[in-house]
Amino acid sequence: VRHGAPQHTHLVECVTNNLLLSETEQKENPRFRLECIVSEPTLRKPALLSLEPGSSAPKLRARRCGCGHLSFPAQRFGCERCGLPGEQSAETSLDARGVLTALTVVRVHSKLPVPYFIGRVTLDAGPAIDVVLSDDPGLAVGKRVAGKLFVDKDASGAEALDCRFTLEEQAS
Amino acid sequence: MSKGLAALRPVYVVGIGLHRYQKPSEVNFVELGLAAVRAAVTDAGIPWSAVDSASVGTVTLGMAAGRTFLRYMGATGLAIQQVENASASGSTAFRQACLEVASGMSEVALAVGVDKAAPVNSASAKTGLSTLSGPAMIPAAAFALMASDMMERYGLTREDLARVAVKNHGNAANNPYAHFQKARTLEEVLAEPQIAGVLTRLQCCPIGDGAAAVIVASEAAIKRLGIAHKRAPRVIASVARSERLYPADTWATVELTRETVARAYDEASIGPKELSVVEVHDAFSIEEILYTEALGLCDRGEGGRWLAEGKSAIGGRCAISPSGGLLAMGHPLGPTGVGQICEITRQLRGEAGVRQQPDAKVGLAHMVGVGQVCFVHLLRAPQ
Repeated sequence: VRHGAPQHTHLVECVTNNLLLSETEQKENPRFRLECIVSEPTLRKPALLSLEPGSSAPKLRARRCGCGHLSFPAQRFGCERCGLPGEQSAETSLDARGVLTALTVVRVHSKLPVPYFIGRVTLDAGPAIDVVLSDDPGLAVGKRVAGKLFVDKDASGAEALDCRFTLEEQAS
Repeated sequence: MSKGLAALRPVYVVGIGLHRYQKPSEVNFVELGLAAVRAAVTDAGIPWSAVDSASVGTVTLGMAAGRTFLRYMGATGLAIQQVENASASGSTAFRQACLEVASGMSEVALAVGVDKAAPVNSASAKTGLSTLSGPAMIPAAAFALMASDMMERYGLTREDLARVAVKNHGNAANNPYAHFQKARTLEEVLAEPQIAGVLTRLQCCPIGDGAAAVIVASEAAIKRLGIAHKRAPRVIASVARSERLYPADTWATVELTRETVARAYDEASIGPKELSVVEVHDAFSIEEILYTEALGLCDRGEGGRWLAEGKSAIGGRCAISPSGGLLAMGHPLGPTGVGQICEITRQLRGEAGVRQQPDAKVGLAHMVGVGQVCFVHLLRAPQ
């Protein structure tokens, strides 16, 4: 199976209910392995992030109300500042860049692998957002940080691009 | 701005009752709720039939919990309403009971909180919106971030934070209704596993089972039912607020608390200097320090020192969380806000035994619920 730019090679296990195999072959090989080349993983959070062609720097999908207020995550319900309905806001994208104002490490979680780092970032565009951070020991309050994509595997093993914030000079 | 309770009929707390807060148990919610309500009715010394309405705060029980257990008090036909408001469910139930009496709709009203530890069904998960931090942002992480900020800005130390747990676990050791009843040393608190940042396990509240009940009454009902006025603190402010937009370099829970408290002081025409005893939403140790400052008991950045100097200890300038607070008395959700009123009432009556704050005249109960919402009640000791 080939499509898109050959970036990652995967071994995919398939169950043999496949018409390409004869009944005898299926009996002899209840499972077989198929090598396939797929395109680059897609964004895990397409509602929050966008990626411009040719760029590796993710942008944050937001909406700007007629009053100027920015909503991230983007939502069309209405403006928290002035109450205008969402139709009166417009899509915009924000640079995933700003200043780290607080950070901490989480050591106990019922589902996620630990430890991992969490931070609050005041974006250059204004809003303060909570983000997952890389484990770069250079991260500290006051440092400039930026979002960086990385390939993440979910519980089923499916790969997708997720975003962590790290030191700005290492994100670009 | 509305005048609030000050413009309405006086409301008095006449009965309190609790079922011990405890780890998730086999005890049925009906038994939990009835234990608290029966204790409150007995404490008030009134017949159940005198109660005109009940406000039931619960997060986990589901539809129609109120009548399902209150019927076994005797099916008197009283008005029953159920409220859910996250951690502030009990505080909301208490406010509704106060409004019943203050407005003249009830002469005697019950507020009861009851819950069993269980997964919660949250509306915020149904908006179709997500966040970058997603499930990684557990509550302990959100508050550890605040702790990190306070340490960075004001030089708060991990010992300052751990002292909140030492004080509150010490208070809870003398509270027979507390989830945890064991005094802890600073070393013990610091030695516990860290959940997030500097917050160790004993600096995060336990969530379990429990129930708490409070009965409020009008002046007329107190006379008619022969209730002892000297055991009936008056509710002098009830303020509920929800989050607004705040500057990026502030924490919403702190700003929301600050403005809710300001309105409560205004409603009661008092200030923080008059507080003798306080119960706050100390689900995590950092919160007590932040709210000590937000209540105006000390300046910003001084909360850690204020505690270290013993000012919030029982016998100090203003006892904070003499019950043990959410950290050690526990946080069973629905009961928590009602349980705070039980403790403040006990203190203002002078009936708190070894946990008694000397000469307690004015008490404050503060609760935050995710979303966020904030409730502040002020009570004054009987004359």
